[in-house]
Amino acid sequence: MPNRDTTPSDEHILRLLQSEHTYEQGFRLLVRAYGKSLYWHIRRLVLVHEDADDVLQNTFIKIYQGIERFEGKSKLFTWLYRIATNEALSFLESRRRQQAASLDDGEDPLVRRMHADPWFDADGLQRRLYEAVARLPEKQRAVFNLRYFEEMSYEEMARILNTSVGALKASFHHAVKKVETYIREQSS
Amino acid sequence: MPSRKWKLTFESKAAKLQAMSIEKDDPLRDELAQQGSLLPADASFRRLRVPEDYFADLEERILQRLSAEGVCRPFSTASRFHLRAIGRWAAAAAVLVLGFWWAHRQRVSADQKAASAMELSTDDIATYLLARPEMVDPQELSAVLPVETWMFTPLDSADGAPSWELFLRDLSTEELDKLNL
Repeated sequence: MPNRDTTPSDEHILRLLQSEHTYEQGFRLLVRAYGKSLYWHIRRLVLVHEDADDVLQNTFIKIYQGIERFEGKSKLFTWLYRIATNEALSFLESRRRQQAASLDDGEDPLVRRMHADPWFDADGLQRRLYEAVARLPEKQRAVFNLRYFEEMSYEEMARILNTSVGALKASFHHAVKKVETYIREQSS
Repeated sequence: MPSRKWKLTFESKAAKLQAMSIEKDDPLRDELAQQGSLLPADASFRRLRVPEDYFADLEERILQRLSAEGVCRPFSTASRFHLRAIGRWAAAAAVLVLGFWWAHRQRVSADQKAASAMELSTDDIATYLLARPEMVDPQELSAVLPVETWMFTPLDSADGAPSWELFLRDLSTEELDKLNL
């Protein structure tokens, strides 16, 4: 979530986005305010920096074209996260389809890509944690990430992922168990 | 193979977290503690690396990409309001045009009916009624047409019977006596 002390308010950004003359200024402020948090959200879903950068740019293109579809029924932040999540999940889905056609050497393709990423240098427990996260089903990974890494409330997550709070709690619980099991297996 | 030292660190972290969760209200820590999870909840643990100054020029890179791909914003919110207003005006104009067209059609139709009624002469009406004597009561016929017009005109009916015969068929015995044929 953006730092409210240093970033302009959503109302100010939206006001700027309403006028042809101030649209670019509003869009710049939007990128400045939400770029970082959206990047980390996407990065933890796709796990590779290069892919995260690509998905982030696609997300902002969607936002640029569709900001007028934002009706103000939810928070701007929720709406942006929803676009970013959908964009990242679509990216992973297309990547998975491409990889399904290629030869399988046994290792999870996402884990392999993550290890090859020069910007992934985690070791020890952190490395195993991200490997475990990479092995989670994509939607469960989104739930785990929002809760574990971003410490988002279940109510907010429900608005972003369009799922019930109960289902999210159950999904997070299962994800935690899977991650722990993987870490334990790798540690023993 | 992970060392025993790492495992101990991991477990001591979890124990520390559980202890901290008692001291401080933290939903994630509480939740992980309730689950008996060993996952660390401290933010420093969860960091990933990103190129230096990556966020510094993010705006510029995104705007460059928008420009390079020729992505256009379809309409500003202001022009969307204009479009809505135009849409509303167009709908109102369409309703008005339809209303005028309907009223005009009604008037033309009434005029045509009146014109066709006015064009009929007494002879036309007589011819029409005489060809269909079964449609009209003789008394009504005599009220609108002179008796000589219908009573003694030997027009044939559709089945070939003379119209005066049809007329006689409809008369009662008393009326036939009165006719003095």
